[in-house]
Amino acid sequence: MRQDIVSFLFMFAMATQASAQDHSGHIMPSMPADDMTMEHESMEHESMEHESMEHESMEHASMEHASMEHASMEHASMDSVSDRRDPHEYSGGYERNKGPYALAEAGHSGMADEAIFFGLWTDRFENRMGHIEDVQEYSGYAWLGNSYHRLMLKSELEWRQASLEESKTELVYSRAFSPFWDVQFAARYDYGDNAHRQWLGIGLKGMAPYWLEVDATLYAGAEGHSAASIEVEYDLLLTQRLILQPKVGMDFYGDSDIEAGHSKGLSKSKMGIRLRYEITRQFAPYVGYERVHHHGEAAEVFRPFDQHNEDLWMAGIRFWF
Amino acid sequence: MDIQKPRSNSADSNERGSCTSRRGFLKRAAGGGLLVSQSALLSGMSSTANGQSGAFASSEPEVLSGQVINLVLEEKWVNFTGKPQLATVINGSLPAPTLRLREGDEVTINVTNRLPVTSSIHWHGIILPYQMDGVPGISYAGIPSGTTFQYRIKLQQHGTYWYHAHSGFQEMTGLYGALIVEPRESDAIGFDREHVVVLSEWTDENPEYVFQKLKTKGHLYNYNQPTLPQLIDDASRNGLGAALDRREMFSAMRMKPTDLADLSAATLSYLFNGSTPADNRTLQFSPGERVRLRIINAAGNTFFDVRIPGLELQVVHVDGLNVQPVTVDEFRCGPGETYDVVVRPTGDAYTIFAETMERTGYALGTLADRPGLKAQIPEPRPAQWLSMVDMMGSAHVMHDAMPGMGGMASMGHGSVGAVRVRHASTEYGPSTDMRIDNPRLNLDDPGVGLREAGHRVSTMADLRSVDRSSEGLTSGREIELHMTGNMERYAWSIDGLEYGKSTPIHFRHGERLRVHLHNDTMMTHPMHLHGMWSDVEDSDGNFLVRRHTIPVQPAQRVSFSVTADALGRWAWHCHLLLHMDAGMFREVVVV
Repeated sequence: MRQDIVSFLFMFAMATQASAQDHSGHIMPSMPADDMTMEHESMEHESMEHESMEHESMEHASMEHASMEHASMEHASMDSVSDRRDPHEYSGGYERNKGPYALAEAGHSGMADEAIFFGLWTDRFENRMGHIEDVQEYSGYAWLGNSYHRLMLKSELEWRQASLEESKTELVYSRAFSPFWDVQFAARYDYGDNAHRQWLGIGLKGMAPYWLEVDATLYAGAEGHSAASIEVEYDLLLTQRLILQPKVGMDFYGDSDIEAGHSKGLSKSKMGIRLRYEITRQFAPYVGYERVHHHGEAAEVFRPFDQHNEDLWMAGIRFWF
Repeated sequence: MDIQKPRSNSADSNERGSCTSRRGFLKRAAGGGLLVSQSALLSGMSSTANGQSGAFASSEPEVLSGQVINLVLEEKWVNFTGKPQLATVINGSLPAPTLRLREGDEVTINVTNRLPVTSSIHWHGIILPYQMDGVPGISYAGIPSGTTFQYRIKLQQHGTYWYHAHSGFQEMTGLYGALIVEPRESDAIGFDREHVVVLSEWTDENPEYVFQKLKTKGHLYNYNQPTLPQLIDDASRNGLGAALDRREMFSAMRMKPTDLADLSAATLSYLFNGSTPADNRTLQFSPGERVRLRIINAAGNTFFDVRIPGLELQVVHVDGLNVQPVTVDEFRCGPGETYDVVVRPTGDAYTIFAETMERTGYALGTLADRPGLKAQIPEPRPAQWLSMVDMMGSAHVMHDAMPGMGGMASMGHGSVGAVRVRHASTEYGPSTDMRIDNPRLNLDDPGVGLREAGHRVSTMADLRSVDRSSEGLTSGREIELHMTGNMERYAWSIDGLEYGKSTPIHFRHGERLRVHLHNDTMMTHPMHLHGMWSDVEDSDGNFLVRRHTIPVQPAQRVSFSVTADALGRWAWHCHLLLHMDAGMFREVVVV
């Protein structure tokens, strides 16, 4: 388990570092500076190949030539950070709303870039047909903020026979640090039949190349407990409205906590696929199938009920506004 | 494929319902005011719900002329989709009345605001003192509810212009109209008859809620995204390798190849002089006449590709100024741009077809020698994917042979490598999802979707101002501005900085400077500089055409010179309203 956390930390550090790194030496178009790995390199490489493939072989040679020239020119001129312009370079020291011809205070107006927005995103609100009985789950978040800073209240709720059995509630501050990635600081409260647990977390949420949505968080709990979770999903469009969404999720814990149902190491894994129909982009019923595995010691708790490995069908709705 | 037809009343009632119920959510932070104002406006709807009419009787709006004009901004119920909605209108009309003024006149325009919120009117392209320019927060404080603002403008120019609100999304809800300034002397353009064509759009949704939804999902209105069956189809035709290759770069960059517009017919109805295609507005002519069509794109977010099957279009006047006539079959007109074309119809009926750039719908009218006729409506064309030129800039220009465009590609070719690009330091962060290191300078590109049109399409390189007096002027200072954005976050900015975080751009009074607009996004942005003309130059610095609104295509760099002869503070922004409000906006200080 330590290894899992270490590798997660490593991944996180890489991502953060990548965002600070200078990518300006690359051939156009520069990729946003957030990609975690050498994928970046290979991407550039492939795009070069791509160019040549797309075109008639006649033009091929001159093309290669041109982009080589570009590459060298770029490296010569763009590698220095100092070549980046100051975005205020043309202001001549003037400011908005001040100085010559500026309006009195009352006249100022703002635009939507200074506005606060909010919404509710419900990823899953579903009925899961388990071996013994049906379970209802909700997973979603309410948010408040702008393009780069958001405050979120995330909930995962599970009901059996109309009574709340388990819940995971997180208060999250999400902050953009690169074009496609946010770092998230979370305070999490788990409520269950047998145990309540509290955690502080730091996570990464965003869109990896090839449209993979990733949400990964490391948690530190009371009494030295630690945990990590990761979820990856992808939208495959069958039509403009019929969308297949594979999704995998894994929960890891630093030590066993049988009371709370946690095993040391990989404790729970989910692999599922949901097929939704977007009646509107904001309202989509779906059906799905998911395989849930409990691993390690805690799995034994589920074994008598044959629930340590569950394959189940589900139906639900996704909605947001 | 779900290519969306122009919306009939069957469209997405669900979405509209949610819009109404969620108005309450649209709150703006203390500094804002614009979002709140719109909500307030709409919540006031029941009190003013008298009469229900979306049908404005004439094919063209009412004409007002003289030296004193009175305009009243008010609310009115309209119905473009089968569902009554509240619009903001001027003198009861959508589009607003056409103002026909005379060059050299000093006109007084009294604008009375009977809306429940502060509003404003901007005279797009008119040269005037900055206090009369009508941009709240920059020219003046706006026109508070219940008050009248008096504009006094001495008209120093003639041509086809327009006017519109510059407050929040009020333009999208109906505050726009044509402004024609007639020449003092005789018109250099020969024509026997003229018509005004105002192209625009309408959404039944609250534009602010549209904006909020885009913040959650930037591709919300794109119903033309790549799908698995398309991939399979592509693979069976061209081989799996080629099909995957075609998608590789887009997916790796997390870009959609069909990201041609933020909005589509999924929420918009497209209007021709305030009417949907179903209304078939007719503009009349007598056979053999030379008919001048003054075409104004007053849409908030939509580029129109305009053609009249069966007629050649002689482009004679662009952005209010005469150009050397160029004969084409089609032209692209972005928000804020105006194109006057002269046509010579000899038959009895023709369709004026304004297809949207992302190909989900169209506005249309009929040009006919008598009322009641209809001409054939062209088949809507499928949307094209953005090409490598749009993604990569100049490295691909020479490859993008444009059928039917002649050997113009050499222009871009000659200048490859000539440009030194300096990105702003603020482009290296969350606000900017791509940067173009080698922009293309090819002004002869008609743009995505028109490259394979198979007929003559006007490009920036085809346009030559008749007035060549700018030709000999030399420009001193050079400034470089980058159009930037992040589609996933739905953030739009200049140099990676939204308006709220920006400082003004200083023009020294009297200087002539050169501006390079460099597009680091995959969308075309119509950039509008207030108060001063923009003299577009080719890549060798030769003067081409004087504009007030310059469309900059993806990965393209357009250079122009400005004579900073207008003291004061001015707005400079993308004329896609949602981009403007998102922060692709700068203040210019001329001191």
